[in-house]
Formats: sequence, structure tokens, C-alpha cells
Amino acid sequence: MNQESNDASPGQPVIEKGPCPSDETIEKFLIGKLDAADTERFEQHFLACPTCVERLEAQESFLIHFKAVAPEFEVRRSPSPVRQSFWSRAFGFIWGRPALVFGATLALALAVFVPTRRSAPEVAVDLVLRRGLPADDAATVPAGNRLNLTLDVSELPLEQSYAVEFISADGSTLASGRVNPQDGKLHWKTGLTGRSGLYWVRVYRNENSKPGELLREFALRVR
Amino acid sequence: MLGSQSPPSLPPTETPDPRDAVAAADGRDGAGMAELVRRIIAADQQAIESLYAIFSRGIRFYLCRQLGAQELEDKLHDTFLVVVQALQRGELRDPSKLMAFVRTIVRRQVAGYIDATVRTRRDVADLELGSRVADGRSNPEQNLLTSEKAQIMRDVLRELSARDREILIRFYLHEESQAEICRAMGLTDTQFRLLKSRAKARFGEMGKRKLNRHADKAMRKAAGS
Repeated sequence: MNQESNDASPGQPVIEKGPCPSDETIEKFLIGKLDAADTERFEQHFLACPTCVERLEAQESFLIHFKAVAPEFEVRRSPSPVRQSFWSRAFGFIWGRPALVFGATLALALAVFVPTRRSAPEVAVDLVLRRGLPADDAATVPAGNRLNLTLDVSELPLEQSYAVEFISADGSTLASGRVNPQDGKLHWKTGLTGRSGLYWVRVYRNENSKPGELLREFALRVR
Repeated sequence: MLGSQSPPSLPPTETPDPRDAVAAADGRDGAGMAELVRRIIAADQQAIESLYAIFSRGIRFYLCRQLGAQELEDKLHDTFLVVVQALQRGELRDPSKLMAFVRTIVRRQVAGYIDATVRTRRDVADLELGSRVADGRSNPEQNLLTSEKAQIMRDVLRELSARDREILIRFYLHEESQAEICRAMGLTDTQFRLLKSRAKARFGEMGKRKLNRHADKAMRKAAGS
């Protein structure tokens, strides 16, 4: 819906807000996909436009409740047929050759007990600070994906780099690193594969290559 | 506070009717942004109330989104006070940039609140494991509203076909792009957008119906007692 929105209540001063944005723009704003210039323009607009605030609230309510409820309807994907085929073929080859059984057993034991780098699909997550909302409203990602985080630090004092930590609900640090900002955001490939639970991502001032003052904290839920 | 100037008094907590607040002023001098700013600098109380009527809803939404519902009214009032004081100090050079000016001040206020929260939280972080984000559901009525809306969302999703549900889940939960989803599922952009707006409209419609049912029930109860 694009409409001229300079119609004010009777007697109210006319504020030149510009046209109201479309529903698509409002959605992009809420999910953090608007670029910086459009975000600035839209924020200026809705600060003075109660109609758009209502539209924002309605869409935000939809998004919050969708993310809370939709995982109940998710269908689990079946494992990759290629992987099954490989193991089936390997097993068949070894089983027919007794001399190789021991070697195969040893190889299987190593495959099970030695940690291997799993090629889990990657998922990019935009983390936006939204304090005060229930932990249920944390950004949510499906489990089983490698976590690549984008953290909005545009309102922090600009530093050359920030220290980051990925922390579990019991306070253990699962990953840490140092990330340089780009256009007000930190892009951090954690190297972690998401397992169900609630997690916290912290951003610190980087002091002598160690975490200094805690600057931001984001919540992340993996389902 | 500014030197010997007393701070402007704020309008009452409930949003004033802009027609009452501004009608007289508008009749006198056909207010536009420049006129509004001029009158605020002159500490015209009605102009300040107009400014509040225009911006309070948007500022409240912005503050709630960034900081949560706790002490929202106090933060709204404090932020509005900062805006008015900044205007009265003459910090806005071009009245046509009023909205950008308000936005800058609101963002600065939010950053200040977040910094204060982080500092406080850091001091007690070791003691508050597992309760790091304040619960915005501050009362039973809000809890009920949230769980009712969750049930409405379940009903909306059940009404959709499995394919339509998958499209929405891929977009909103898995954050796949519109282009990827349309390619994978053989949709046009228009079909994709229509599906989203249908689901949102249905959610809104069912929410309103439920709200009306509650209002009817409350009225019948009041009439019966």
C-alpha cells in the first residue's frame, strides 16, 4: 500500500511524512533486510505516522507468532541418499572379502570414535538486538546447520575489531573469536553446528586481543 | 535541564486529542513544520502537545521494539523531553528536517539505555545465568494474549496446504530468499507475495474476531451483573 499520508487529523499541523511504504517494505524492515538509507527513511516516516505504526505492529505480531508456532509444523528432511549409498557400497565390498573384515572393522571404529568435520549445511543468521521481549522471541534457527552470524553493531562506538563469544544456557563458552566490522555489522562464521537450545552471543570491546568491556548480548534459539 | 529555564511540562500520560490541542493554534497561524518548531522554541504548551500527539505513537513503538515493554511510559516521556529540550536549544537548524532530527535523538536515547543495561548486566552476569533477557510479558493479560495469538497462528497454519506452509517456513524460519524459494517451488513473485499477504490477512482477521468475541463476552458479563 503506497499512499499519501499527509492527511492529518482536523486541526493538527501538517507534517510532511512522504508516502507510506508498501507492506513488502514494512516486512523487510522488520526482518532487517532494508538497506541503511531505506531504514533511515522509513524510521523517520513511521515515527510520525500512526497508520504505519499500526501496520508495523500487525506485521510484527504475525512474524513473532509465526516463528514461535511454525516449528511445530516443520517436516524433518530425510538423510541424504548419496551418503547411504556410499556406506552401503563400502559395506558390501568389505563383507565379501574376509581378509578385509578386520581392516573394515578398524576403519568403522575410527569413523565412529574419531571426531570428523561434518558437512552440515550452513545457515546465515541475522541477530538484531531486541531487549525486553520474551526469550521465546529470540532469533530462531533450525538445528543441524552450521551457524554464520551477522550482528548489528551500528550503534556501538566504532572499533577496529570486536571480541565475540558464543555461550550456552549454562554459561559455557562454545566458540569465541575476533571479528572486524563491515558497514556496522559483524559477520562471524562460528564453525558450530546448531544443537537445540537457547544460546547467547556476546560482543566485547577487543582489548589486547582479549575480551574487554561487554557491549552487546543477543539471544539465539536453535530448535 | 537548561540553565535557568524550567523544563517544559509534558502532557498527561494518555495521548491528548490533537484536535483539542491544536485547533486554536491552527486557526491562528496555519501550522506547518516550521511554525510548529517556532512555537515549541517559544515554549507554547499546545505546540508541545501537538508534537507529542504526532510522534508519541511512533516513538513508543520504536522504544518498545528496541528496549522492551518495561518502564516504557517513563522512557517515552524522557525521550520526548529530550526532543523538546533539543528543539528549544535551537539544535534543529532546518525545520523541514524535523523527522530526521527526532529519529536521531530517539536512536541516541536507545543507545544510551542499552549501554546502561549492558553495564548493569555485566555486573551481575555471573549470578543470573539463564535469565539474561528481561521477560517482556509483564502481566497475566499479556501472557494470555500471547498464547491466544499463538493458537490463532496454529489455526491459520492448519488452514494452509502443506506446500504453502513449507513456502512460509522456508522464508520466515529458514530465511531462504524469495528468489530461491520461487525457483525451488516453481512460484512467480506475485504468487509468493499473495501467499504471504493472505496468511497475514487471515491472522489479522482471526485475531480481530477473537477480540470482538472477548469484547462481547465482557459486555454481556457487565450487563448481567
